[in-house]
Amino acid sequence: MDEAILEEEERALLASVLCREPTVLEEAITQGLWNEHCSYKSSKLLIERFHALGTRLGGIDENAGGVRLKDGTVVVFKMESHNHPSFIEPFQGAATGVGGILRDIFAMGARPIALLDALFFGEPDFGRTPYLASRVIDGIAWYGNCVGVPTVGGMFVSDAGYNTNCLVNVMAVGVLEPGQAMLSAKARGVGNLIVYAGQKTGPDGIYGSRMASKSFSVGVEQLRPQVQVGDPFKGKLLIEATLSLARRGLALSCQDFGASGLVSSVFEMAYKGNIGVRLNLDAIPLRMKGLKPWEILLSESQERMVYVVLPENAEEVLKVLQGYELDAAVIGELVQGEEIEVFYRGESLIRFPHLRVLKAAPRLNRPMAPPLTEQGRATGSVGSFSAERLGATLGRLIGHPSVGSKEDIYRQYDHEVGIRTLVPPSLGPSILRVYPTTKDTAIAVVTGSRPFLAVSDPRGAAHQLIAWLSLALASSGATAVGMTNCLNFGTPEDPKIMHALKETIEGLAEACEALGIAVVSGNVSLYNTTEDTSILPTAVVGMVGEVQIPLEEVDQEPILPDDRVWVVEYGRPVLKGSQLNRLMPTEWADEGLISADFERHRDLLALATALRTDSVRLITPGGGGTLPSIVKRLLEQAKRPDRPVAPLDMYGIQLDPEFCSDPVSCFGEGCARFVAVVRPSEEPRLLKQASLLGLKPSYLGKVIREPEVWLGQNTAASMEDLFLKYTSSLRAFLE
Amino acid sequence: MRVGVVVFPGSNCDLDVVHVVQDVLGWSTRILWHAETSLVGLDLVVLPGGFSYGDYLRPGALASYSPIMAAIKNFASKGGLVLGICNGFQILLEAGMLEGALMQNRQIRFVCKPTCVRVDSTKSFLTASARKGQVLSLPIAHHSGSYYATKEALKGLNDSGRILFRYVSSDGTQDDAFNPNGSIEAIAGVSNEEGNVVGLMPHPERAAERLLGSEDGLVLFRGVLSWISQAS
Repeated sequence: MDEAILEEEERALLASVLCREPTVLEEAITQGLWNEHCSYKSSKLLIERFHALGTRLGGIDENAGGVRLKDGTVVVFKMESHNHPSFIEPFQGAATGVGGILRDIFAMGARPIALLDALFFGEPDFGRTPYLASRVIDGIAWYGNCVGVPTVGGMFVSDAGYNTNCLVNVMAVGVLEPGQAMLSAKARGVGNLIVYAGQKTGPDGIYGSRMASKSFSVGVEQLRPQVQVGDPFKGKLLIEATLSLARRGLALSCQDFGASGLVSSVFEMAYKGNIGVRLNLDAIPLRMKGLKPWEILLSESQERMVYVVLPENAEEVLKVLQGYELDAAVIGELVQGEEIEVFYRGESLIRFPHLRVLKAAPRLNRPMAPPLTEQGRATGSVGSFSAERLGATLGRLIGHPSVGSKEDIYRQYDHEVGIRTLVPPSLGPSILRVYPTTKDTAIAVVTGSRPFLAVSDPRGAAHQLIAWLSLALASSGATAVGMTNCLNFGTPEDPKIMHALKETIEGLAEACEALGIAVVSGNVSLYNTTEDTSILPTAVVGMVGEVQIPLEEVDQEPILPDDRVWVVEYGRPVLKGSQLNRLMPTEWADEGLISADFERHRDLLALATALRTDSVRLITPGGGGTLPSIVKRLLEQAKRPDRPVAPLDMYGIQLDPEFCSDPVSCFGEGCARFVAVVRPSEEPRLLKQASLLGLKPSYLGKVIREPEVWLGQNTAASMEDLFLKYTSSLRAFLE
Repeated sequence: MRVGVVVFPGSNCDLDVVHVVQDVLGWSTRILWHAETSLVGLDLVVLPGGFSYGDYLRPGALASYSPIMAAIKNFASKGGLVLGICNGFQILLEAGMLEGALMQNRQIRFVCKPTCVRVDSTKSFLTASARKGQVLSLPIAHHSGSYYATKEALKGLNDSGRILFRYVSSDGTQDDAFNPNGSIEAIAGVSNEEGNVVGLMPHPERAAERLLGSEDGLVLFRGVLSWISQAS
């Protein structure tokens, strides 16, 4: 511990709080509290914008937040990043990311019922990319499968913008038992005891949070000792033990050990509860002898929790925890005062004024600057399509790892354990019943991001992202009720990056406010930078919807020959920021940028919900645009050798030349459009229902028995060929 | 019908089995912590799926030494019905209550997907209500599900009708393309000589409600009733 711990400015700030020079131990503890990863010092002033929305359940300083569904069910969810550790040691980095987000959920007293992962990697032929991707997926599978929480969805993006920094964002969703209150992270009640449970403490990941608060230079493998090792078996025992304590009312409050270990858990619990602590390091279960006190304080050993309990219940609490074969001990007591007094080898080691130090935590108002206006690279006119060119473009997109089938990933995840999964991962939102025994409550969950658009217009991208995800939920029969987010950005010292972060937050907040979606929790991950290269501004949103249709109908009916495909929209998509534009920026570009029109969007959502209630099959186009999204649905429902269940032939589609020779219609991306598939006899009703809301659907084409894509009478692509491209899109990453 | 569902540290399909047995089938259930040793009054004991002891050492190896296992062996020797699903199957093999072994899937990856299995023998409590040759849609979710037995053991298993399930196509064809994990002879589940101890890798409890896409698992659970009524 001989290198400088705090930067000069912060050291001076600490000295002014203490009214003297800090000791090395004080500096180390303060570093654990004030680093970017734990303190959010660069973003705290900005994310207050979310707090002002005030539509969530649970306080802003709790482990996660939630929403209440109409029947009273409380759903708790949060998303978190594990970008830095996953880039250094992908298997354990990703695995401990899963473990960490699960602890945030059950620390609220909620049973975790679903996991989703948003993964961003570089191009498959760039350096460590395939290794990173396959090991991250292995790590997620290892932890999630063993801990018994289904991984039901997420996203996978491959792009040059993530060559030197990958993103691993994990979302967990949990539910409270009916009638049970959320557990708080605030330590309350002088005389109450602090109980530790879980893995023994070892010298793991010390300064891990500090690693995650810096950008990388070359040679990241040298940082491996700062990555922790997970134990999903212990994680499972901790879930059951914690929920048992919550059910029986034995835990007054609860907090997991995250980054900065004891320092973040106990010190912050006490800060939130405005109370002092006597903390006894001698009582902490240790994995090895000879750990220094600062190592015990800052260890990031995984699968550890602390509970505040009444003294008379302590014995029973220890019995419950030990019954789950966990190490458990009383490690401290809540006391009056403004200090945490730490005891080591029977003697007082330090009296740390945690209330004053945390209150004084830096909140930076970092300089911001809008980016230079991008020079129009666009050609202005994108021309029109020949059948051949349309087919080639479709093939290129559908075989792209970001657009193609994700089956090679989600087959490695147990997405069924818990028997809640009604609509498994495939396309669009996944749907889960909340309690297997309560048949009529279900949620739809989905993740999304629009980084390619955010590069030039972070606020507009944020608007579109929220609007698009809410429409995806509506197309699944659900109403968006809440969202969580992970804001992944580069180094905050760059004013352009800070500006993009601010614009993103404003945009997300505006859209959620306009559409009545609660912002329940979130995470900011900065310093996703290696040397001078930062990632694209990447806001990932995880959205939860309440399912409005009978559970028997959540599976959409298959699409059959002679079905008519209509596009319903209030604003056209654009190529700018689309996958196609990203792949071929000079060939396929336009200047267009639609901003989400929230008033009209509410109409579109209402129409989608009404149509879905009438069993109309709906598709909300995602990455790649409208045509790939429709073709994906046809490919997914088709018979295949390894899928013995529900065999259907492979059908094709005849595209209307008028609508589809415009590349923007086929491959543009936006948020203001959904696709409705109806029988010919249902067409008049569709047109009528749309016209009531002032919307005029456009005819896109019809489903044909021939497994081909036709533009008018001309063959553009063979579905068999598209199928091969679609299903092998991840091969370069996973073989 | 009285069913005990064993919970080992790390079991994670226990509540799913309880749900199906209790809420779907309406049978009475008792949750048994692995440290318990009394199985008095039970007709069926289920060892559910999951990762008992984190799969450390080998899947099922540590759990096979849990205190409850001696009681389960005793229970089975008196004709009590024992069902091991997924990790439960692994435990029964490790405990020597069934023949064979489960190795890592041939693709060395976890696999979660729907499969079709064919009932190849009805000489067990789990298949007592099924038709021989009947094809059931049941999902799998495992990392170590590749069944193996020696040639001699396979002959014995085949000759005595102890191979209950094989992975097949939806029309019942056995082919390597439908074998999801490389199991020898595409075996998905086996029983003991008496037919009262059964282990299988697919999850019948995940296929016991129409909402979840298949009710074929109920055919298997209902076998318990036929078996018991035949026995009495």
